[in-house]
Amino acid sequence: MRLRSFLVLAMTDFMVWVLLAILMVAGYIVEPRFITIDNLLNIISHTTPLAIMVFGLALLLMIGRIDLSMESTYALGPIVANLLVMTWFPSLPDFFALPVCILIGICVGYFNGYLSVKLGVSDFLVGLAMLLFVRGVVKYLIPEGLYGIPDSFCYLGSERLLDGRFPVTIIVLAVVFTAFYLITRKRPFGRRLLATGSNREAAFISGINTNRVQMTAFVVAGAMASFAGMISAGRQLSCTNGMGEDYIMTVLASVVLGGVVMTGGRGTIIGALGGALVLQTLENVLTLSDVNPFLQDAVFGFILLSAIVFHGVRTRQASRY
Amino acid sequence: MEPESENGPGGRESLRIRGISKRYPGVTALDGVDLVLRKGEIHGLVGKNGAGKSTVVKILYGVTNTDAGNIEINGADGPVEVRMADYNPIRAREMGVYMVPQEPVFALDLTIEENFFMANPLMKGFLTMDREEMRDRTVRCLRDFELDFSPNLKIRDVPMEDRHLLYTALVVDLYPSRIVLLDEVTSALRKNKCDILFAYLNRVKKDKAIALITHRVKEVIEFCDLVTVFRNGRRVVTDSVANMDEGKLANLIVGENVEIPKFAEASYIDLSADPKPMLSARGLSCAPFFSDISFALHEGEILGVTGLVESGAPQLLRCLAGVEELKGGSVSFKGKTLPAATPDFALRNGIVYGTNDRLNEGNFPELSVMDNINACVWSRLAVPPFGFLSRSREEESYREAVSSFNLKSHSPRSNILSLSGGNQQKAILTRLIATGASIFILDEPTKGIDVGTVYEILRYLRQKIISKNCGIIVNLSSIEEMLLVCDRVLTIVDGRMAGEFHRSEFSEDAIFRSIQGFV
Repeated sequence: MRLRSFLVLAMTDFMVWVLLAILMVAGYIVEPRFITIDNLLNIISHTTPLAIMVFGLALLLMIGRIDLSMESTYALGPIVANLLVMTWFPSLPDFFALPVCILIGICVGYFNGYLSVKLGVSDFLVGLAMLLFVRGVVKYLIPEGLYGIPDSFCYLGSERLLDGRFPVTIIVLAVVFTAFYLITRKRPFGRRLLATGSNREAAFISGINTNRVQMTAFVVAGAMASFAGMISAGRQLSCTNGMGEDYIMTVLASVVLGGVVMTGGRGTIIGALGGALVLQTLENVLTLSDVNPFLQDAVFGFILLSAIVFHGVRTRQASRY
Repeated sequence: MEPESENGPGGRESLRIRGISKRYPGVTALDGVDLVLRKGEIHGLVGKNGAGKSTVVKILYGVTNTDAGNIEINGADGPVEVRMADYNPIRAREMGVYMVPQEPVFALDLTIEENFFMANPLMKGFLTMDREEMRDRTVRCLRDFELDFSPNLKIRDVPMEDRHLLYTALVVDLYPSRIVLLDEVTSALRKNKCDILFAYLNRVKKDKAIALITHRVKEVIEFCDLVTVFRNGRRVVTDSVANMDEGKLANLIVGENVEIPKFAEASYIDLSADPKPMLSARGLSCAPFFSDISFALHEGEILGVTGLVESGAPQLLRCLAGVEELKGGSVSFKGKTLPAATPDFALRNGIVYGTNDRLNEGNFPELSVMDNINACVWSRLAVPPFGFLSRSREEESYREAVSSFNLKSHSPRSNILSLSGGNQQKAILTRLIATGASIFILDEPTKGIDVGTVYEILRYLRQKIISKNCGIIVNLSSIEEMLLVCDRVLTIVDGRMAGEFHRSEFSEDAIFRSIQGFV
């Protein structure tokens, strides 16, 4: 019995790390150069925008909510911020683009939160509509693309330290991760988040300000979406109007792979980070091993499905009382 | 030898149960009960909570099995003894036994007509439904209940009260029912709807045996033909209503006047010494549940506020705690006037609420026992400089709760659902107590838990309040429990204050009568 419960735990709580380890070994077998400092740093650096989105969405899933429009906010933030300092008000100093970018994410998140939480509209549908609306705005704003964006905006995404070997994005990831970890795990906010996700009614009655908790999650998710967009734009030194399209599915897959339950009340930031790392590593390994790119999505899907099935097993056990 | 012979007040015997017993761990729900239901009679089943009337109905409908005894149902071809081993609601329906539950179960987005014929549409040939006939029968049902709806109205748009009537119509008229069990159907109905329901039942009863569970004594006297009183799992009496009056029936339900129970080691406050009121409420109202209710709560007092389920007492408690919004009146507490607010606001002012709906509003099913206990006090468990939760403080709070309340939990990290119902309820109460609030508003804290734990919880309330000098407002569904734990009891009838009883004037009979609305 004890062994069985340990196995269940290993398959669910630690599953994402077991998967990551398996992928590392697989990567090494396919191509020994996979396990080099440079390649590993590269993978982590590539994971950064994904992981930042994943943290934001994880907060929402923990309260049983979702915001699909994050992938469009991912493009809207950097694009509007850069247009502002490059075209609309060239006299503004370049670094203005950074706070503006985050602010745009906050605004979109607040708007989505307001509709879902305060007005009680379905968050799924609000997100879907906003995904289309914001993407439309983005395409209208830059039909071509936006090149030559200011250096200050690109710093976090593209700068490398130590003779160009150590990407700054890794520091960014470490800082954001630590902040999320501490806030969800150590601060009372994290508990309120899970309590709200577990039983909103009971949380409300217990004197938790459930509206504020939910609004905060929406706002943070929006801010993280545009921040992730900033990192990504910085790495490519440009913005395209298609940046982030279809990205939300990868983000959602990572969060779920990381053990955050979509109905709320359960999940950790470490798990979510693991989910993001697994998907990014998987992509890297598949590319290295020359798998037909069309088959890559199928592999993603298969791994995600297995993860969901394992989680399903656990959830069913927990609810049989 | 049998308690009733063939020639009772009604017609042919439809169902007879003999010597039915049912035991749950620690409780005897039914002890050798006999009962006969006859065609042409409306048979009222009454008794206090836990007296056994619901258990009888559940057994008749095959939801619960029995430990002893048998059921005989008079079908189309003579009496058939039911094999209890494979008796269930499906078998019950085959034999013509139907139940109208407390909550009607409809598909909300289908129309009245579609709901009525959902399972068995009337067919005209192999592929065509007989729409005219279905419509006619639906219209007839609606007319029977004086409901002015189109058969095409969605159930979602039908008022709650009328859904109960519709469900009764469905069961009585459209299903091939011979024996109809009505489980507290009238509790959701106002007087005029009740009249309609009983006028209907009286019309149809000539080919049906009807049994009705109710808490309202007046209703039994006015509308039933026969009444059976249950007390402590036994049938006390079955008699024609013609031989009864309200007072006699109330006496039979409550039983002999016994001594008012009391916790030996606890002390009750002396209200004649005129203690200081800590909370006073004036003219509270929240339509349509209650209106113009005023009272005061004193320091160290346990105030019982009770009434029938539909009386508005539960809503009053919810409004006091800010769970629902008051529509009128004011509450003053600690010299401040509290506006209608949220539980969050109430908590910050030292008022906490314990729900009567543990499953939907109490537990956090995904969280651990420790998190469930600490849910109201997380901000207090955080330590400077970063405001991080201190694990040792969390565990200390958990251990304190566990030891002071004798909460049986395997470990702080076990899931809340791994605890028994009684321990889950204790966890919710400890969550409230951990806040150090000064006013506890508890709605049926003893609901659905075993007798031993009930007394443990009540004793805890009585002792905790003395050591902490706070006030408790509590609604308990059992008057005996009220007598045991309260200093004063207020009764609510139809949303208005009906009576006030001090400990010196406590009597189960008087409170029961007051709740029933006898003058």
